[in-house]
Amino acid sequence: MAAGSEQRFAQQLKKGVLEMLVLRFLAENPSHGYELIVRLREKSGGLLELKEGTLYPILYRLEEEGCITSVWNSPDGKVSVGKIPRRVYTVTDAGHAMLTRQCETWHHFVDCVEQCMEGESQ
Amino acid sequence: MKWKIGNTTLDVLPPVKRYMNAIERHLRVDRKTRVRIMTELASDFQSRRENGQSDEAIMQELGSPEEVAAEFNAALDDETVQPVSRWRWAFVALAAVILLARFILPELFLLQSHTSSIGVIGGADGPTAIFVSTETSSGLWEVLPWLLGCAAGFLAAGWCRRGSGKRYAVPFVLCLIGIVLQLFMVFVLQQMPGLLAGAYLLSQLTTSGVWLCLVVAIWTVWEWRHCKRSGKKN
Repeated sequence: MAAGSEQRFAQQLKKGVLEMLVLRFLAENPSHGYELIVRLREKSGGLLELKEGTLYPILYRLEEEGCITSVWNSPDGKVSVGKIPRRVYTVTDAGHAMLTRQCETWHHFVDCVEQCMEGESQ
Repeated sequence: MKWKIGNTTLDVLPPVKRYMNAIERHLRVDRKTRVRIMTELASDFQSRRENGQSDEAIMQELGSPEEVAAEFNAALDDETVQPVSRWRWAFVALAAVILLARFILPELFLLQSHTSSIGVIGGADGPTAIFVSTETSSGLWEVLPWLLGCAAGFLAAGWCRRGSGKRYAVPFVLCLIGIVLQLFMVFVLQQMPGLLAGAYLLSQLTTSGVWLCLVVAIWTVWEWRHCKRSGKKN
């Protein structure tokens, strides 16, 4: 596989699982954006290197769908010089239910793909 | 250097401020989302600083402002929000030129055309004082349609593009006020009959602010319709 198409394949896989992974990480521990980026990078050994422009739209969409909620970690959301509030994201009950469903779909999908791949190699 | 995002103020160095401003300029989202994105980016910037990264390294890792904004735009694209035009500053420049030409320059050169009366005080062997009174108040009335047109153009090219289509009502109303003011001055103050007033308006094609108001009003309606069509498509 050429380097370009290999990269595209990896990107498409990543795109498909990101929402589930974000929910999974937030279910483990409520976090702010940058913390999530670091955790995803560390856990994936650098494979899931996300940028802010990719992560935040996912978080906004999940919040809009009611799967997560967010609060500023300073009470009024205002900052003084040198102090910046961080928006901490937490998974809701609907988010937990969504994560369970997505995990089931993911495992089913992986099983199917593995079966197909085994069939191909025999 | 202070950087203001919504109602918050941060302390940043000039290159960081320029970088963040450039991202903000390229975002095609509504004001609320823009403020939220910029605050979260600032918070991430701070976290990266706390992790020991230099400002230059952070900016390099995040990518160019165009790239950062493009990622957000691609994911949150809102076709009803148009990018803010830099041409809005042309209206500010035009307003400054008008004020300069109407009030400052005549004051400097004491132009005859802008004086309402000239008086001479003194005896038969020569004047002891000369006074010149200018028509400042009527001058303001004359330039008001221009200024309203400029303000409307400035808002239409900037503030209106960052929110809902309803915002276009503000510059449109400003233009209407400008047109009505000009017509009021022609018909009532100068007591001209209809045809003469029309001729007067035409003769003032280049000097009357009513034309600017008219053009900006039409442009505002066009922008509002465009915004509405994009909204329906979405």
